[in-house]
Amino acid sequence: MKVTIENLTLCYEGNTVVRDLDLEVADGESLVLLGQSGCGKTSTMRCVAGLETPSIGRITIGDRVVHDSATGRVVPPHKRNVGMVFQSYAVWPHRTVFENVAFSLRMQKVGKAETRQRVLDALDLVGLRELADRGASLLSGGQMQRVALARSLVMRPSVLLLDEPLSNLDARLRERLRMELRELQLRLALTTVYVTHDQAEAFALADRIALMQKGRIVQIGTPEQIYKNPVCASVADFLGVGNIFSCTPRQRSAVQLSDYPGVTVVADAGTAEPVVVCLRPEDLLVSGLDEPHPDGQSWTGRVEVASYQGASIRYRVTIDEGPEVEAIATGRASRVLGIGERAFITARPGAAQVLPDDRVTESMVTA
Amino acid sequence: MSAPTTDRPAPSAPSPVPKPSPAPRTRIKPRRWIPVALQLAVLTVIVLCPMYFIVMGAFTDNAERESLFDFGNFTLDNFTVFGSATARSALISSAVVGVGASVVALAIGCLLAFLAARTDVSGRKFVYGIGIAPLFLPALVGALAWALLAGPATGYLNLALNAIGLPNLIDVYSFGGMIFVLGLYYAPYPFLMVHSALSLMNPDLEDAASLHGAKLSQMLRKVTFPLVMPAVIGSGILVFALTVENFPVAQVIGVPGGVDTLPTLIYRLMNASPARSNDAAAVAVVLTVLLVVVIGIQQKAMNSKDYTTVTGKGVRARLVPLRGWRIPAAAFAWLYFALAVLLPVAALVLAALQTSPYVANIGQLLRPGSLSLWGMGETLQSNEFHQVVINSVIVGVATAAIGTALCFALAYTRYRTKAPGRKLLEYIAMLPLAVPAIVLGLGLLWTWLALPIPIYGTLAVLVIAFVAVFIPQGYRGVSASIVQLDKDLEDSAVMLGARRHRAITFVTAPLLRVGLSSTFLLLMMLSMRELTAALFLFTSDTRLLSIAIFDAYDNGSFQSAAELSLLYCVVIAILAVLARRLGSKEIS
Repeated sequence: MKVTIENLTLCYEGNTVVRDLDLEVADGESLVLLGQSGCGKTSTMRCVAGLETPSIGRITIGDRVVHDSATGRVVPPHKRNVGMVFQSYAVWPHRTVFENVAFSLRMQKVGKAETRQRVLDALDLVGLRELADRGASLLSGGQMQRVALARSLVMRPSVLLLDEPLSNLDARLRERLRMELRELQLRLALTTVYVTHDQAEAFALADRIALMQKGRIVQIGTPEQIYKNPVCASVADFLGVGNIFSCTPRQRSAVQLSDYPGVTVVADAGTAEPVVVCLRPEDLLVSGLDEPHPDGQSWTGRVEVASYQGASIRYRVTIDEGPEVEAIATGRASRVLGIGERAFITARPGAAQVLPDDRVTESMVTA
Repeated sequence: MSAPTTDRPAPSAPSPVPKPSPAPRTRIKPRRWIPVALQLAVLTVIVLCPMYFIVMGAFTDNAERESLFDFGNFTLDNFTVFGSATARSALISSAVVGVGASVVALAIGCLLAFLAARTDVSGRKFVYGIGIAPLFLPALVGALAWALLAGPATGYLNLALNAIGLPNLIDVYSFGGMIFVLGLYYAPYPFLMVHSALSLMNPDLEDAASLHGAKLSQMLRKVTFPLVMPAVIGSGILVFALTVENFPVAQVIGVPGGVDTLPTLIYRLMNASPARSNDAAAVAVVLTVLLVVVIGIQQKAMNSKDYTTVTGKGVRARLVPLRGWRIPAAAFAWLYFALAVLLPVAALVLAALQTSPYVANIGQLLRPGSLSLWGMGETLQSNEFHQVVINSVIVGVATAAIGTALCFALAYTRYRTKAPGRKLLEYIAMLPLAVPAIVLGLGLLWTWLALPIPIYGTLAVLVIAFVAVFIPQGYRGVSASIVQLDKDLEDSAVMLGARRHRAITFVTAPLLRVGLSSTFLLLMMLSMRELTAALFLFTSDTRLLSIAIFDAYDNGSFQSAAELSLLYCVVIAILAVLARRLGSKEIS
């Protein structure tokens, strides 16, 4: 069911954690709330769940208003039919897997036979049917996560909330479960809200991503939109764009780096100021001086660090009279350059983006 | 129980919604404050009311306690009691005995803790057992036993000295005797605190010192000892507070030797006829203020930043080789065990078994027929004894049950809800830590004389007194386990459709089972041991084991006091073993 959040504000003992937030999640959509810890993403989710009581705002699930500060209407969490998977799994260690999953049906007073059927179906869905009678304290982290998921799915929730569900798992398992989760969400056409601070996870799971900073949504869009067009420097930084330099527009199609006046970058200069120019490492190609270098604007520089990472090579290169930049070369494309070697750094045409710099005030505050 | 979210019936159809108003509507809903108000009311009656009566008693001139508000006129005259030599010397004696006993207890406790935790002393495991063994002997019993052992005229040790031709050398009825007995029986407190600090210390801290070139002795001096210093200081201050407010030892050992302390003075003023209750209240206020200050310092020392570094998994402690001192160190531990446990128990057994109430020389005990189990059997079969045991068990179980439930409610409100006033609740719950049991008991006496509920003279008033005295210990135990329990476990049950109270009974309570039951046993054990809080509250129908022992002693019947003491120790030992079983289950 669709979820609508209007005008949501949440204050904790004087701190405003979420401020004036509007968000709509379409029926069957997977929305990811992405942001650093403390940005208010988990608090927003807990407001939907009913575990936090917003100071102002209205939350609607389907056609049902579950919270409205204006009328004082508050539906308690146990009546919202919202499923939630917690970061800590919150699987009850003193119960078996079956008892854990069957709990919501027990609360709804569903008959024994039907309960059994639905629980086993849910366990099938997550591949844990054989473990139904095992004590939950004997499960591994990945298994607990599946139990938590099955427990939330069995109640057929209007919306499923997932709070960093994969962050306590090791890298390989995390990747596998991520794919499974996405597949399951699409198959069941579940409306989900997923909270994470991991951008790769967000890209993999989302229909749309809402990027949050300091209690506000700063950008919302499909993963592709967000990846290609971050709205500002801090978003680009958070998304892992390593090379961000403040600059001043010189002509309509070039900017000059503020700290390195000798370097200009070809880019569509915006009109706003202050601005930064962003270059993704994957858009910067590194090649030896003896190799033919590809199309695009290029500079010469010196390799500082080369780190072989299997499928790719990650370089840190100092551009002559310019900044140090990060660049990635696919392992197949060229040989590994040695430290201290001279190289060409070539920007893919159209890769450089000029964005408003919203970090200025922040860095001034911290300095 | 207060739930973090409010629970209001939802209208059947969503009403047309006006534009959200700009200002947050901050209504406090009944579901939120009712549980807090209830808990506050309970704490008010059992903790704040007694304090109120004490303070009012100290500053007014009406000795009657019949109304909540009528105390007569305001006056400071009651404090002129400190003009008298007895009161002044009681104040000084209290301080001197407190300091002396803390020094003795610290010396014994820290040394044993170091031996047990960090050295290769012979029989290290036994040393740990020796360190905590005296806990099973309530101070009242220890004091009685030492009165039997080292009474100036007929103490067994003096009789033994006579037998080898020496005069009576030992007199426990003295300043020194009091300090000795208190130090002996309060040594387990520093022992436990310092031992856990030493064994929980992160060994990496010490290893780092060694790797950077410190010798073993330097490492101990520069790293280990400074790290346990807060535990040493904190436990020292705690012992001071506990010994200053201790009544049984002061009454049994001090009073016969002419040494009064503030608690015995309060007891004497209340037993004067007519009772000098306003003077007693004034003394109580002075004693309480003294303890509030001391406990305040202690809490500060224990919560200081240094202490937090003493955490860790207690993996492997590095042992200090004692070499030639392994045996002498073990001998020291066993000597302590002999003085604190073996000799006193032996004295109690002798006193319980001897057929004649007076023993003039040690040879008399060796004659046939001089020792018999007859008296013990008589006691075991007497109705009076049965009644006293039943009373003790009822009060113990009720205190433990009510105390655990109350502490759970308080800890839940404090750590799991955002209810207004939750910190105030915690503050009041910890208050009895600084209020001497004798003062709380006195205040409760006046409270229940004035309140129009006729429970004075019933076991219920004893239960209330014990709950009030032990709330801090129970609250600490329960809140420690509630804090460790992931809040999501309960919230997930609510998300799955359970009401808050259902989620508590299905998830939280079962998962806290071990923590709650060890709190239950702790409270039961503590209330079995407690004498002081009940002193002013019992009647002839509601005597407890501890009171029966005290009465027997008061009436000069050392023999039946000894009999009862032995049986008392057996009951407490059984409870302690049960508590330890549960404790070890919690660790695994």
